[in-house]
Amino acid sequence: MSSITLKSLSKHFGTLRAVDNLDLDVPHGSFTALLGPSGCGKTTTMNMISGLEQPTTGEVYFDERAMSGVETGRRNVGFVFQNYAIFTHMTVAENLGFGLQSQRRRERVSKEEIDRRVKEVAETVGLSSALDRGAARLSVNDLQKVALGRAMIMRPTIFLLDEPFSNLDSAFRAYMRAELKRIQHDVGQTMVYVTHDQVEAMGMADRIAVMDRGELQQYGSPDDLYERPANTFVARFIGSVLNNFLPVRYADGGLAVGEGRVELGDRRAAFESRATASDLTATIRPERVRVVDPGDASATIRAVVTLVEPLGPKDVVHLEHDGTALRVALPPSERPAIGAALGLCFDPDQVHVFDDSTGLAVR
Amino acid sequence: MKKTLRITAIAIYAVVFGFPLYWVTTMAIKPKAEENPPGITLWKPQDPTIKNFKDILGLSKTSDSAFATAKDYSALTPLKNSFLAAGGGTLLALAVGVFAAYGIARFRAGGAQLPFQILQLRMFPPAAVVIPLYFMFIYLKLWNTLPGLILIYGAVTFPFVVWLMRSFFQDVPREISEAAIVDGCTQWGAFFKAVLPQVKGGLAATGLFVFILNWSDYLIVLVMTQDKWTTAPLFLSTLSGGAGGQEYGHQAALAVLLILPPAILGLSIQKYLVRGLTFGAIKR
Repeated sequence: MSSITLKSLSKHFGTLRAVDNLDLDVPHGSFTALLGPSGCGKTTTMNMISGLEQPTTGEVYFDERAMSGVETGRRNVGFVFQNYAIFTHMTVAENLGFGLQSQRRRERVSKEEIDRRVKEVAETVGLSSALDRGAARLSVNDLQKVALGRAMIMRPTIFLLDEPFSNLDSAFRAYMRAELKRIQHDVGQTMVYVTHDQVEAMGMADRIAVMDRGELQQYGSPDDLYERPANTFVARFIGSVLNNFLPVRYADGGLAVGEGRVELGDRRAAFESRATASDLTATIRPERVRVVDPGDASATIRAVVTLVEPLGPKDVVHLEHDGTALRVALPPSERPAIGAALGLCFDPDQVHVFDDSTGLAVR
Repeated sequence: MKKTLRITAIAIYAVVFGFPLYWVTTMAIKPKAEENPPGITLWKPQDPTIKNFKDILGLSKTSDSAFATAKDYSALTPLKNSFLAAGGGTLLALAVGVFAAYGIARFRAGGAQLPFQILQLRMFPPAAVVIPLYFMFIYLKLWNTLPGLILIYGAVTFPFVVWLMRSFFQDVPREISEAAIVDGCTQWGAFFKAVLPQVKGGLAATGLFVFILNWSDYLIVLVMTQDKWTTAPLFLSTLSGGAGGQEYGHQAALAVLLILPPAILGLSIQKYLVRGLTFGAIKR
């Protein structure tokens, strides 16, 4: 087990800042996801942790030890690549044993030991019956298992996984997610997991680092990110149903939202102390909007249903209010008709407000 | 209808490419009198013989010509020289070109323009450089030597190796070498153990292509060697002249022998070749 600390880590390719001034603490034995859209710098960050790429500035520490100058093969990391990077000219067993073979002279691992560990790992990932098969003929699912096994066999202190499940069919993906979580729980290794799929990150990780354009946007538990997004990027990126964004104005201890009002209570201080009077945007999760009768006095605003998306356990109801598209989640038993008016009630605790000029939350 | 058309097309194709082969193999087994009889066309040998092959391979003790000894027909030395020069040149081109191609494909060595600069070396006909090379090689004392010939064959086919192998290496995901490095390999180890085996089909195809180019060279060896010291294609053209006229039978016999090495090489690496020539077209 090792902790990972990134200190002002940057990687620039010419004028492109792939990763910019990244500070991150990944504790011992934690399962941390690097989450962000493609091109946000998460894979580059992984490559710097593994040593495949050298940072332009900054430093990577494993525990307290600086890693610059330590070559990749000696960092004791296991890496699972997005495209698996299986050696197709070898059998499954040769693939699994490759790392031990190439370190045999240095580490004095006997042939019998390699055989034993190959069998053991094959058992763990479910490849025992395929050991002698050529890797070129494996299914995508089995390739994934080989990739995982090849990383595990080295007993790394740190496990790095770069979008490992993005090419799998959804049933096997769900299975592998659960498997991976089980393995992580059993061996207790530090795992860093790169993904662009926020559902995957939310479901698996203890901690999530959200990145965009090379910069860290927010780092915290899945609940933190969902309940307390630090900026509009996180508010938009996290959540399986797209968040609601509404233009609002601050007035007398409350927010004017369309024709309605949301009282801020104790939070008003943060708004009154703002130096500039730039525009504000409020967000409220579709799952947290309370739907009431349009005539109900508690309704903050009224909106018209434009589309209903049935997703099984819940419906996503699309609405329009004064040119702004909104979404609410409703149980299928309460499915409204298209064109119907609904009253939407915003609980002040569920409303987050962001400053349009900075994108940051007003707190 | 479509099938008939296709078969017709293939038949025409086969005749166009097959006829020269037919001509040269039948000529090789014709006795001297049937080689070029005035006024008639002999489509097949009337009295087949293997004498031409025996002469070429130096197995005959006596000559049927008053102007040449049996030794003059033996192509053993030129054949040996051809093997050494073409084989050595091919190995040299591969040894240098494969590393260059990997450097360019993986590390963008030399910048974006380097591959084109290398290809430019082949954008003019060899005849344009062979005369200056002649003087350079005399100065370097490499003219009319086997190492000189190997060097120049390696140099002229090197651009092809770089271009072909570069595209094969580009088809290998970067992660293949990175995975090997994570597992404790050096860059060299990753290259030899993980990357190179992935492109062995391409390597076989490239090697064969380059070998054929070197094997069939005529112009360079014409300028770069003299006397009896020569390679088989040049020797073939010397099988003529004097009062004996064109030695069609001997030329044809040597030509048949010259077809064999590339053909055998091609067949023996066929299983890699098919993959090499279609590389990139298949899902990996």
